[in-house]
Amino acid sequence: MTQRPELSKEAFLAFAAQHGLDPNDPHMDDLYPEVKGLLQRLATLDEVDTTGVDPINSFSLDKEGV
Amino acid sequence: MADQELIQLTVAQLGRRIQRKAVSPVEVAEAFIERIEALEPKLNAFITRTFDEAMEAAQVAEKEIQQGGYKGPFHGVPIGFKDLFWTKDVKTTSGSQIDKDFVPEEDSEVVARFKAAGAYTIGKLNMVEYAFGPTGANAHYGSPRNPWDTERMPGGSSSGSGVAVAAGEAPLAMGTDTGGSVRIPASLCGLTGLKPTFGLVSRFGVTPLSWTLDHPGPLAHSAQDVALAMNILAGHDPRDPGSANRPAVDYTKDFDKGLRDLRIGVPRDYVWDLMDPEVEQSFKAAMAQLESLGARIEEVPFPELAYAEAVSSTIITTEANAYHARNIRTQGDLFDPAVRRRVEGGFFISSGQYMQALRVSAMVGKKMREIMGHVDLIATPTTAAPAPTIGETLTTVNGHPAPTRETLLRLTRIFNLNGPPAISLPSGFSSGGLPIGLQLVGKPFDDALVLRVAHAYQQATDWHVRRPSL
Repeated sequence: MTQRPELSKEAFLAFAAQHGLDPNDPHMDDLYPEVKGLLQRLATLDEVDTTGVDPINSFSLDKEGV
Repeated sequence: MADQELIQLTVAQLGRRIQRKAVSPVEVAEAFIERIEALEPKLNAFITRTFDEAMEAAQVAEKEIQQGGYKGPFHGVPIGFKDLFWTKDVKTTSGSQIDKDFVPEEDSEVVARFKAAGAYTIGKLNMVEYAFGPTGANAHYGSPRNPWDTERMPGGSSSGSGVAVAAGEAPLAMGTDTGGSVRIPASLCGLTGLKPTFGLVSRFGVTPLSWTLDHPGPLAHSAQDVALAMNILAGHDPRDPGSANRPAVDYTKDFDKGLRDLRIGVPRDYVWDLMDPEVEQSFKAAMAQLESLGARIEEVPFPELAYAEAVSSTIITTEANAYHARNIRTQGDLFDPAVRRRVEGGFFISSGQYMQALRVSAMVGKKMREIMGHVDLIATPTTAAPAPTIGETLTTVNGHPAPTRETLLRLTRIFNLNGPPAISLPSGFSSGGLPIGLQLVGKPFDDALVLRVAHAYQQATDWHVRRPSL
């Protein structure tokens, strides 16, 4: 599977602005490394083959479950 | 001193004394209020104290009982509520500045059920802002401190709930658990805490963190108390779209059935990659104890545990972001900076990533069904180490530095996916005197079995009766 490119600071700030955050807020300097770390951790799911798996979350409450 | 004795009792013990009029609800209220006033400067478990309302409710309960209207084990018993359970006419901050003046016009279903059972609110408990974090830290109201060692964190996000019960400031408290937020403070504070099956306990009137993973649940000194609480908490609520509509169950009725031929699976993967040796030793001793009671212990493959962090983080962060996006944009400065960053992370998660997390969650659920086809319960330690020091972001585990959040969350959050019941109960103490927790996970709606096993273990051990010296 193709690896996701690392999120650049420029792309991060543009994305933040798109979502209504202030890219000039000094807080962005703390947020950027945290978001990069988050996306790196989440990228582990890219490798999981979920072919044929329906995206359910909780089990059906009408059934006994497992 | 009578007060000191009362505040050490379990709900079951208090209830029996109140029922036979050996102690009055007013005396009980006075004892807990005195305890809270004495300890709060040190522990900081409460955001709001509701002593006037508590005394009024205790007087009403006393009169009802004197007139022959005893309602059951919670009649005249004070309860602490994590400050995200709505309480009519009492502010509900959710641990935040943004909601510091929010006063609900009605009770959450959980609070209403306790009131109907004759219990009352002793106060609203400290928590991580909007329940988003496992350490217990709160930048606005000050971080609660672990009663076993006040330099240690109590765990969160239901931090005040863990501290209040462990310290004898309330005999039972309610928390919510989205990635471990009932079980982690239960483990770190030496308590029994249950994340019930998703849908059993109503989320109506509970500030959400993650709609699909939030589970309200009780923390108490014993599995028996937790079961008594479940007897009043479990039930259908049409105001909660996730509420299950199932027949009522007495969660204590099989307590004397024993554990003969019960099968308990211990994951061979992932769990042991990051593990404090004393926690591992305690866990092995607990398994030996359960074996001696008749259970059969077997290893089970569960490599999907390794997906826990990514799946859980994706779902919680995305859903928390959806809930808080407007406030983050307009009042971001009012958030604890650490919580703000966690919430803002959700802006950067794509819909494709969220759906992939849900699909992997479904795979985990399928694997759990396979495992549960062979065993009745899964057992793990609750946390990878005992309570870390307050403020530390790296914790030394078995000689290696590990992120504190990961140390706390790595064994609990996967069991929020797909909603099975999971309990943490005390299984020992570290050489430094800190509690160690054992986690038992059952099949969905098999909460009674989880509680039965926890109770059997507590009948054979005394970890849960120990109290911190304060």
